[in-house]
Amino acid sequence: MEAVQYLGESLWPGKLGHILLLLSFVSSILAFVAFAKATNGEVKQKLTWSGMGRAAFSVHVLTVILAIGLIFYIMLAQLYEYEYAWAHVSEELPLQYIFSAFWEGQQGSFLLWMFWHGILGMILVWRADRWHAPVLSVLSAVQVFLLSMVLGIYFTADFQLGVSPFGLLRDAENMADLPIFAQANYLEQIEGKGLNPLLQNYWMVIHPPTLFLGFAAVTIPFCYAVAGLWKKEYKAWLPAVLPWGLFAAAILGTGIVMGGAWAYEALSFGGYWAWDPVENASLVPWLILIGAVHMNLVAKATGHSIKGTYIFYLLSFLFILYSTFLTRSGILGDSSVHAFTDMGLEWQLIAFMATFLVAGLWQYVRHRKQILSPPKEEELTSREFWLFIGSLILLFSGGIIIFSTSLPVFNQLIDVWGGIVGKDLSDWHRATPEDVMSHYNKFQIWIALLIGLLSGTSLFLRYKESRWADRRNKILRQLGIALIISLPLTYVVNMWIQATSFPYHALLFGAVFAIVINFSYLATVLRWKTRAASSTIAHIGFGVMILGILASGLKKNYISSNPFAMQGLFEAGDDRVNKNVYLIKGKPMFMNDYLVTYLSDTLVGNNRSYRVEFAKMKEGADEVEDQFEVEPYITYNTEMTEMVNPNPDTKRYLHRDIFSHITSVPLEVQSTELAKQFEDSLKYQQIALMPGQQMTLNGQQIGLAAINMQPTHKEYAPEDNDLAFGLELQVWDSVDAPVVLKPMLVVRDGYYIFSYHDQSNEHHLRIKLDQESLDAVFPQESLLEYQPFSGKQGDIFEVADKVIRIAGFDREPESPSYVKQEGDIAVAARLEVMTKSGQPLGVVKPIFLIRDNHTYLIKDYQPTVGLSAKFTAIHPDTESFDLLLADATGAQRPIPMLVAQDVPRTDFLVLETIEFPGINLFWLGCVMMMGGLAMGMVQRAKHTS
Amino acid sequence: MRIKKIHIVALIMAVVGVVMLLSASKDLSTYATFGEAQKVGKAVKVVGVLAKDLPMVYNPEEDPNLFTFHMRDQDGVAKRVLLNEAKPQDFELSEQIVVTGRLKGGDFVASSILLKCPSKYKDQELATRNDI
Repeated sequence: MEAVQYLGESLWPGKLGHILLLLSFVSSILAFVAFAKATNGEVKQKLTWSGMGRAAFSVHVLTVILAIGLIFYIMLAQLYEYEYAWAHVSEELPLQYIFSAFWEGQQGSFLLWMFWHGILGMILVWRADRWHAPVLSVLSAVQVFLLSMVLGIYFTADFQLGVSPFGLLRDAENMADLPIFAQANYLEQIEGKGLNPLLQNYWMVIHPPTLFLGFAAVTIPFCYAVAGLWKKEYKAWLPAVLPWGLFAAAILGTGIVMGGAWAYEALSFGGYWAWDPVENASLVPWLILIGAVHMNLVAKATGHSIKGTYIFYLLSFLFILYSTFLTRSGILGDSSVHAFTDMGLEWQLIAFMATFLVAGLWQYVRHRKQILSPPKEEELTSREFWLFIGSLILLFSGGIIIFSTSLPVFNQLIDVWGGIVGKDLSDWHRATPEDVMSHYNKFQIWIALLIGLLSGTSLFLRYKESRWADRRNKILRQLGIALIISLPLTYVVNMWIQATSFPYHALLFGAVFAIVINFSYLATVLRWKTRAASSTIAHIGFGVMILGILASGLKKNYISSNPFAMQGLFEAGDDRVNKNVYLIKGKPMFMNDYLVTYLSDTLVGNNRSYRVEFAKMKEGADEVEDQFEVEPYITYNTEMTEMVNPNPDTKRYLHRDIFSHITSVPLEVQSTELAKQFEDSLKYQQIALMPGQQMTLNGQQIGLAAINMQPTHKEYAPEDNDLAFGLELQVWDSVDAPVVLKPMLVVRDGYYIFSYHDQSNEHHLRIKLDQESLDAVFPQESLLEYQPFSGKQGDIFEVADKVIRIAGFDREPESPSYVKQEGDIAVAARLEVMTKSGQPLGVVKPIFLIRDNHTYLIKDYQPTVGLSAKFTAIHPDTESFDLLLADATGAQRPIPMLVAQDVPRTDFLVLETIEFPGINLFWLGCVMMMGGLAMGMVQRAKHTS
Repeated sequence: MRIKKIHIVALIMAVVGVVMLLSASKDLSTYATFGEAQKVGKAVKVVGVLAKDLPMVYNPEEDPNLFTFHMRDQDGVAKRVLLNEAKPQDFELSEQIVVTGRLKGGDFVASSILLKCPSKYKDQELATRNDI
């Protein structure tokens, strides 16, 4: 095939981008080598190498930033010739989500990660202390690997290094063969896919950068650890790394909690933590990092646990890489709801992990023997011993979590092994447990209990304790007092939380004890000096967080569980609850002390929001104790053709949250396609009624009250040239009260017919009009016999059984069939029609129109009057008028209409409402923990410099 | 070699670790087909696809907490699946379904469900302006 010359493509940003990334890649290699030389080389050359390294690293960071800027340009300019722009933005994407669109994709998030490495690295470049060369050398090596993920260089057709964010759409996999790319002007025809609406949320703006700053921050202690081994200064790195460790722990922790807040607030997971593999994958490095920081404190103060500090910092970084592998390789596809889409980078990610695993461990093993510990072991009564134990427990916690999280990896390894031995070993595959939450919780309860007990107690102990005998009584007294306060306090708190099993009682005690004993430390030892209280605050935060988890988890209560709903399908004794309740608009429903009413729904922009009122009733009385409204909503796509996702709404109190989430809405509002399917599934039958007539249809009475020539309908927006009519029907049966239904039909521009149905949900009945009803309401001209009449104002004629009087004229006539234009001469005759006995039937107004020297007759027909009239001529000399009148009573027939019975309701809402007591304790605890870590970082950083 | 505290700690950790991992692996469920689920009797995970030719019912008016559909497992066996939840959004679009639960009287009673949706946002289709 001949190469197509494409039109309108802007290719320079892509070429420039490739060059920038390549330059960045090369400069990161240069920085790695130069800093390595600056670490190892001869003294006088060190300075030169370091200068080169810093220059190379600066170029690397600058090119990364420029490349990111270029991607933003491509996305903002909507250059859909680039796959990245096409896949992540669209015309409709609000500008504030351009960042979210950037890091939605793998390449963008890799670049974000590199960006943060670059920023942190530049701090080291700028400070240029004695650690900068080896630390930046390792950091540059990490950047080399990360950059390789976005290079997009093909070595052979099958082997590719990374996927470039500057790739063209027409070169993308599965795309090249599409017929559209045979057209030179394909760009004019395509539009972007845009950002997944689930991600169009402010959390998506702030959560990823925080999390990736956390990831990047974990790299720095790893670099220091390798640097310490490399320079054989096994102790000197300990104070330098500590602020970085605390910084990483605070930021990564904040990132994780933000993820939880996002899940809780905006998504429909019904909680802040689900032990999802993606969540676990970033929690595990954090747990190990917290262990590392404690080991770091011990090592710095006593010289014990130096090896532990190395191993923990190494592991926390390696688990970040492992988490990257899990979330980006596509391996979690079966077990997680929110991993990245697979990009075929699996082997590159494995190489990344393997390189740093081997390099890190090799460095450690090589130097292990030279790392000396103090000759005397830690005393059982020393702080260093218990901090060491605490850190091990955290590692343990991470190990158990990652074991269950790694099942998909194990399954794949089993398959690899099966391939080697030539057997199908898929029987060995294991899947996540049936009850994921309790699987993880049952182990972590005991770990949290131990941490709770240790977190305060260890503060009373001293490093290198040598006067234990003197202090023993004092410490034991402190512990005793804390115990005496904690036990009854636990009992009191449990009256609120109502834990029912021993493990939860124990954990509750652990949390209360942690809070009490840390307060006691704050009061008696620190004497309320908050400057030194960073660890105490973090530890109290831990206790508070556990209280929040217990309260919101154990007391989590489905308000929307309806006790009257059907039981029995699912086993008795099953603790599964019915979480959803079915609400009918305007009908209050009583559930779990609340009277809940779905009040209304309104469409604003792309959102349909549902107002739901909750009234809490006083026990045993008919009185409202508390009343509030929530407004969960569903979001439609930009074309308004289908619903994209539901969004919850939460009523917040200080002591609890009430979270409401839409789980189902009528098919009619879900999408136009489902609405059509729904309409098509209804079984309509035709009936016909004369005005004033009624009939019985399967036990339901239907009566036609009137024909309305000025109909209204909630979905009908009148336009000029609309010819519309509607019916007023009454529907009733022996059960439900009568309702009035008003279906209508519109003929627009004399060509399009729109039918607006009306429905009674009480009667499960829907009525609509069609073409036949139109023909019946407006009799065909050929069936009418017009008679000519001539006369003046006040004259009276008789047509069949009707008496007609020319009542007057209208020089500004108004009619649905007439649209006024400049220069029109229009006159309407006002004809009053009555029966022979003088009973008025109504008025008809035919119009005589002169427009552009042509005359037009606009006939008027009123079905309720039964007369059709045309105004044919004006004779100014005699002041008389010619009319054509036809009696249409004979032509009137019953109005046919289509009736569907047993129609499912369309005015309902299925709602899930959960009460989370004490959830603010969880957030408070998290904030205190991260705040404590951040305070610690600031103090240690001051101390170091 | 003198026994140090660290050795005792290591021993305790190792023992507790092994016990915990053994206990953890007991929790794990296995993948199965409907045929195997019948034999096993305990909770399993079945991977399959939605049988679009067989009925799928969610009638919230009757029971907002019951959704039933038919799923075809990897052997091509179709079974009715009962889910004690509202019908998940975009259910029809799912490429693959993983249900956890057990067989009871010919029906598969699911305690949880995971849908694999390439979803409308990730498919390799070009939306052209002409389509709209």
